[in-house]
Amino acid sequence: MQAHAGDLRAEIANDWESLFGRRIPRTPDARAPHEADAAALDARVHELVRDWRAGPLTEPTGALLAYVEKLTRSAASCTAADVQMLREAGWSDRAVHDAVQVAAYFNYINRVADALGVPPEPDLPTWGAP
Amino acid sequence: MAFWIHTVSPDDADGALKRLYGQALRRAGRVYNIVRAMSPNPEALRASIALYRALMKGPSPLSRAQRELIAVVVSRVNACEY
Repeated sequence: MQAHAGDLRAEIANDWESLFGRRIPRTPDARAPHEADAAALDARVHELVRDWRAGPLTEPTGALLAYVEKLTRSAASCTAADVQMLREAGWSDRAVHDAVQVAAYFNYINRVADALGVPPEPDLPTWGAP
Repeated sequence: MAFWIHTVSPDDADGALKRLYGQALRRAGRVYNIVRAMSPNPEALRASIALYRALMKGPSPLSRAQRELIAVVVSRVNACEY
């Protein structure tokens, strides 16, 4: 998780609106219109890592995350009705496909990491701390 | 902390694995431990990296941040710290 929390931090400024549906907040002393407050971005990533439901994600993004959480906890309980709900939330079938493949990939690679004792990257920051 | 199986260090790699490590270094500036973990089977490593790149870096209606957030949520549910 830590390695990808770092990747999320790297992408979040560019893709802010895709997650939160509004313009990225800026500090008053930001020098450029697109310049975000790095500390605010860090805080948002910590929050998402601790509990994604606590953050103000858009409804479609939240629906997608709820589905990948369900498939991770209990893949056999996924239903066509779940996918229909994602369509009604605005997702295309291609988007649902891609989300499922990403979730499946990380379920696979998490197991590789945990079952072979893959050591953490010691120099990377730790995300999700209070 | 060490891997639970024998893995090949970047210094000891040759052939296909050496090429894959070289590509990883050029892309990421390091050989991540998850990459080294798959060194016993370079063909599986190659295929895994190709799938990862197609899913995470390729064109998609999902933004990269949305894809990374899916990775974080799945890993969190699995309690996989790596």
